[in-house]
This record gives sequence, structure tokens and C-alpha cells, in this order.
Amino acid sequence: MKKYFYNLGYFLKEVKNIISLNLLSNMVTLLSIALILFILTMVISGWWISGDVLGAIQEEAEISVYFDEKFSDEDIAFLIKDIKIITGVKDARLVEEIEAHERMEKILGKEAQVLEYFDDNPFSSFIEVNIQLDKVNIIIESLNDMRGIEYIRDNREVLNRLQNISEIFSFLGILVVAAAGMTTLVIISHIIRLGIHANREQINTLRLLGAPEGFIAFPFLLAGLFLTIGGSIIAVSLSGFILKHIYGQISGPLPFIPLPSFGELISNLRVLIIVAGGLLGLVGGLFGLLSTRKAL
Amino acid sequence: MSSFKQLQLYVRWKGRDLLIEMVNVSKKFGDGFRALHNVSINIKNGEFVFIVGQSGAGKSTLIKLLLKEISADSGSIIINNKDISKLKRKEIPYLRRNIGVVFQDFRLLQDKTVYENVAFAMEVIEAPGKDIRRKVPIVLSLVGLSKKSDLYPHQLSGGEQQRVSLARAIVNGPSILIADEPTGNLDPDTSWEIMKNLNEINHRGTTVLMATHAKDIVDSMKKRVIEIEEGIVIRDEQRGGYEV
Repeated sequence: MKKYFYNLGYFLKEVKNIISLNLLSNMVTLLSIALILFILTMVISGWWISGDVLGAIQEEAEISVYFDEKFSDEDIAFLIKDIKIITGVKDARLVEEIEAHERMEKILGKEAQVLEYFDDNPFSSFIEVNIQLDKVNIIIESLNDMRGIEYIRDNREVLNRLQNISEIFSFLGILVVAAAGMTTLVIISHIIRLGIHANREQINTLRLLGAPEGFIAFPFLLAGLFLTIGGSIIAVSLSGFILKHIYGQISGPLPFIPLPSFGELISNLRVLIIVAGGLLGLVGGLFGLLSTRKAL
Repeated sequence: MSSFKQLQLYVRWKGRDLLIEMVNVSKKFGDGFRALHNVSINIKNGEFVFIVGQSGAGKSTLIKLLLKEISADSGSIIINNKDISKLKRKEIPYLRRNIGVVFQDFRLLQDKTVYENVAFAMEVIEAPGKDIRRKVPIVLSLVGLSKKSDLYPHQLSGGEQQRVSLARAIVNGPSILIADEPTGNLDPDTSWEIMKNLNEINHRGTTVLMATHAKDIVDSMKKRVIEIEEGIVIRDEQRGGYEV
């Protein structure tokens, strides 16, 4: 290992030579890798964001229970108490008519003036039940058996759709990870082979000087690593720019969508894509070296 | 002294004295071409040996076998008491560190200066920086290139490039120096300069094995000559000439 540090200057100079020997081809490789990793970054972002949104919504999953309007305060208190002991219920609280009205005003924003056309408050009071999403069916069955409950509004349809979107992103994510991985490996392996072929005379001289195979191979591995890490940096920078734009588009008009923090998302993507790019570069380089081993 | 002990002593002496021992070495290439056939050669420490023969006679194959660039089909090659046919792939670089090699086309690294080319041969074997800084100038002075250490190969004449190649080959103090047509690309005067360098290196104790077509040089130097024809050793003569 000492030898590798000692000769770092030589290795870096060799990397420069390897890359500049087929400069155009290497630049195209760098851009292709950047594009592949950019697609990968965007799909992974979608995967993470949808997972996060779903998680956040699931965390806040609640159903609204509308009860008999003739119920007294005491009846309501008993009903809430009964609801709270159902398995899977995290909390239950009464939302008065006024609060229901205020909430709708908040949701409608500028459009809230339509509410002024009503002489009376059109909203009824209801019990807001915070639940564990996976227990929703059992909870609804139990609520249906209770006296005085007139209507239960759950968001199962919305949640199921979100779940489907998240699954699609997961599937696409796995598909794109596999495709991007394979493509990057093939490209890097091919470019390393070209580099080795172009330097075969020098490689033979190094061998005759007694240089170990690892010493000869190291600059080629470094070249592969630099190309993929360079591609990763371009991909992450481009994705950061695009995601910032998308966040701006979503968080303004659709503030109720609980997006993960932009900074956290970008820093996680940065680590993941650069590390993944580096690993792909190393493995691709090794494939390239192994495939040319017999030819030299 | 018992005959067994005498035999043991003889084997020890023989082992110490012999540097290269090729026994019944044969090599055929894929197309069936017989490059070497039952070649047996012994070369002692400190010898200067010319390998002569026409193009395609098997000289380069012999050198490639010694450098373990290719493997023999049969027979054994022992260098420094080690059978190189049994070497593992990862052990080959260590064999080559003990054999300096000089080529007709110099094979210098074009992006390195004279100094760096020579120093590089030490760097790849993990020599300490202190040793490199001490030994490279000595070797460059031996081949008369002290003043050109900062130049690049393309700024040198053919003879100078070959001297850099010589310096690179001997900087690690190998016990054997193999020169494959080292004067093949040089004019007669420059060739003699290189031969003087090789002779000097030999006098300092390095065994020199030189494949050549240079009749004048072989005839003048009166060294051991091994002649190969169609893969067979047809002559092995002490103080011989290019032709019988």
C-alpha cells in the first residue's frame, strides 16, 4: 500500500494520459455516465419522495366519524371513550362545527368566500379518529357496530392510490438501478479495455521491469473511478437543480403534501450516487482488466 | 571424504556457480512452428555470452523464455537455483527484478525524463526514495548521461536512448543483463559505445547475455558464442566468432 501512496503522482499522471489518449471517447463516456446516473438519481428521488409522503400520510392517517346530531355532550364523551379503546386507534377527539368551518376556510384559501353564501354553518361536528393504517378495516367494523354512528369517512381510496404510486416508483427504481448499473459497468469496462489496448506496449515494458500486475492495473482502475465519480457529480448537480425547481412547483400550490426536507434529500442523494458511481467504476474497471488479461 | 559428501559439495558448488541452466528446453507455437528443440545451455556467473543465428532461429524465443514472457513446453529453466517453469504468475515480477533487459527499440517511457525513466525502474520495486536519489545519478554517470538527466527520450539520439535503457536495466543491480539486439538500430560508432558500456557492466560482475546480428562486434570481442539454427544449438564456443 505504501508503494501506491508513494507513486500517487505517477498514477495520477497515468490517469491523465489514459484519459487524454482517447479524449473524445472518454468525454462521451463521462457524459453518458452522467446521463445514466441522472436518470437513476431522478427515479431514486421519486422513490424516496413518494415513500416519505406515503409514510407521513400513513402516520397522520385518520378517519372522520359523524354521529347522531341529537347526541348530548355526555353521549359524545362516552362515544369518544368507546372509540379510544378500539385496537388500532391512537387518539380520538371532537371537532366542533366552528373548527370544521375554520379548517375548510384554511383549505380553500382565497376560495373560502363561497362559504359566506351559507346563512348557517354547513359543517357538522365530528369525531376525528387517529388510527394505525393497517388496522383500518377492523376499526371501521368496530365503529359500524357502535350505536349512534351515522357515517364514517375514511381516506382509503387516496391512501391506496398513494400506495400504488409508491409501489410503481419502487418497481421503476429497482429496474432503473439494475439497468443503470449494468450499462455503467459495460461502458466503463469497455473504456478501460480501450485504454489498456492503447497502452499495451508501455504495459509490457512495465512488466519486464518487474512491476507487479496491481501496480500496472491501478491507473486504469483510477481512470474508471474518476470517470464514474465525475459522471456522478454532474448527475447530482443536475438533479439538484431540477429537484429544486420541482420542489418550488409543488410546495407553493400544494402545501399540504408533506415533502421531505430538500437539503436532506440532496445530501442523501449526493452520498448514494457518488458512492454507487465509485463502486460501479471500480467493478467496471476490474471487468475491463480481467477481460484483457489474456490478450496482453 | 566419502563420495556422497563429495557429490554434495559438487552440487553446492555447481549451484553457486551456475546462473542459468536450461535443460532440454523445447517450445512450439500454436501454428506448430518449432521455435526451440531440446536446447541445453549453462551460463555461469559473470560470463558474457553472445547468442547468434539468423532471424527466426529462436534467439528471441530463448530470451522470452528466460524472462518468462512465455513458458517452455518441456524441459527446465533454472535461474539463480530457481526453476522458473514452476513460478506462479504473481512471482514473475520478482524474477524479472533480477534480470535487466535492453531492447533494440529502447522501450523508454516517453512522458518521463531520463532521470525519471531510470528512477521508475526502482520505484516499481518499492525502493526507498533515499536509495533512488543515490543510485540513479551513479548509474547515469556510468553510461555518460549525467548532463542529460532532465531531457525526454525524444530529445536524445538513438545511442543516448539506448544508454538510458542500459542504465534502467542495471539500476536495480540485476545478476543478469539480457540485451536483445541492443545495437540493431544504431550506427557502428554508437554501437561500439554501447558495447563498451556492456563490457563495463560485465566487468562489474553482471552476467550479460546478448542476442545479436552484429558480426563485427561478435568477432572483435572474442566472447562465448552460442549459435542457434532452426531452434537447435549448433555451436557453443568459448572466445568464438560470429561464424565458425
